[in-house]
Amino acid sequence: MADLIVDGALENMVAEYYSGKYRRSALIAGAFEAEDYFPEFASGGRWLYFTAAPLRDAEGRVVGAIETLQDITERKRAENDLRDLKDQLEQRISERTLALSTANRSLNESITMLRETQAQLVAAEKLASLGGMVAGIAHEINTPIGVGVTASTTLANEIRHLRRMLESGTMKKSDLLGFLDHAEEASGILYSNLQRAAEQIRSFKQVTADQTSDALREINLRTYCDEILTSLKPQLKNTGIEVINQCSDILLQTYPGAIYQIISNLLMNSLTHAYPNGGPGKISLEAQAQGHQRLSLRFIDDGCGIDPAHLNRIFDPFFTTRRGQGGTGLGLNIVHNLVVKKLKGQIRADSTPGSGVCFTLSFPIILQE
Amino acid sequence: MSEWFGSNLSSASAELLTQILDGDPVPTFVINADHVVVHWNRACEAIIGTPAAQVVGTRSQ
Repeated sequence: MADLIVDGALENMVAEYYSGKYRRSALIAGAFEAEDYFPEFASGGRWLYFTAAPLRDAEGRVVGAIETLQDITERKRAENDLRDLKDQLEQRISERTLALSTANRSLNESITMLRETQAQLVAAEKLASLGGMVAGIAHEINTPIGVGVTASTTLANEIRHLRRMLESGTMKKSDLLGFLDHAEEASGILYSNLQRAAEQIRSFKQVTADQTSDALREINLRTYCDEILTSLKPQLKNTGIEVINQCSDILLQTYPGAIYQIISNLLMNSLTHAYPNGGPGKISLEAQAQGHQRLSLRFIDDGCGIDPAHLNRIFDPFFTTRRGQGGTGLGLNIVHNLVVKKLKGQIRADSTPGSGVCFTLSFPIILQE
Repeated sequence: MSEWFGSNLSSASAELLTQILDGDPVPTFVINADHVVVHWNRACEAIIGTPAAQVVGTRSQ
């Protein structure tokens, strides 16, 4: 560089290639500085920082130049290492970011899929409980219809018998009176049983309509629970488990379909888990108004209770202790959602292992649209 | 050094200049207008490995 200064060439070079490797010194006028790599310098290649300044005589003519060299190889190496490290780090960060966003995307897809599956399972659960209800209705109506069939068959026999006596001219007045007594009795039985069947159909129709429709309606909690329990009788048959409805006559304006589903799911939950050896067992439903606004409904069984480790997870979707045995883990999750979202209430489960479970529901007595 | 920069430099001044340059730990050399090396300090000798005697008076810096 000293040569170039002596020749005055550097001025032009820097002017032409200002952004090149030679820079004007910020401190000394006419001096330049540069950094460069010298592959054949001393022992192996070195990076040098060098400066050069002109020497002038009294008239200002350049009579020589002074040049300094400094080995900056270590600094350069450190800078390169640092740059490499930074590049690697950026590379790793971008790879990690990519991996994370891929993972995130696939998680989102899984969540979407799970939500869809969950919605399908909830629908299936509801359908299953509707199926159980239909079985209950069939069973309940079968009794009065059966009695009615028997009464009508008896009456038909009596009629045939009377007609034979009449045609053969052997009928006595006492025969006719006896027939009238039987006919009256049979028609009474027919009437009362058909009436009972009609009454049951009417109430079941309401429960089913509540299940399939989604309307707010006024219900009497006690009678509504009776209807629910009647429709669930087939599930209780041969279990040795007794369900007692201790609700008082409280008028609610609420979603009856939700109440049905809640009680039905709680009951099925107890039947599935609380009595591993079957009955005997006692389940009770209790209700109390808390002031004028809210109702406290308690569902209590005297079964084996819930493991404390499970207690705070029972309302989680898909939490089940019976995976692979028909448990979907949605029964209590549906209950929770209905209580919280549909009835605008809260639900709590308390349990002491060995002495049963108590579900406490609290929700508005009068629910507005 | 006086011989390269004219005769107006006393030998005492030239000696002082040499000492100043040699005392500088930054490798430093000086050339004249004809590109001849007129000074090559100790730090230069150390880092480049060529003694001043071999360089001074030549153009092979």
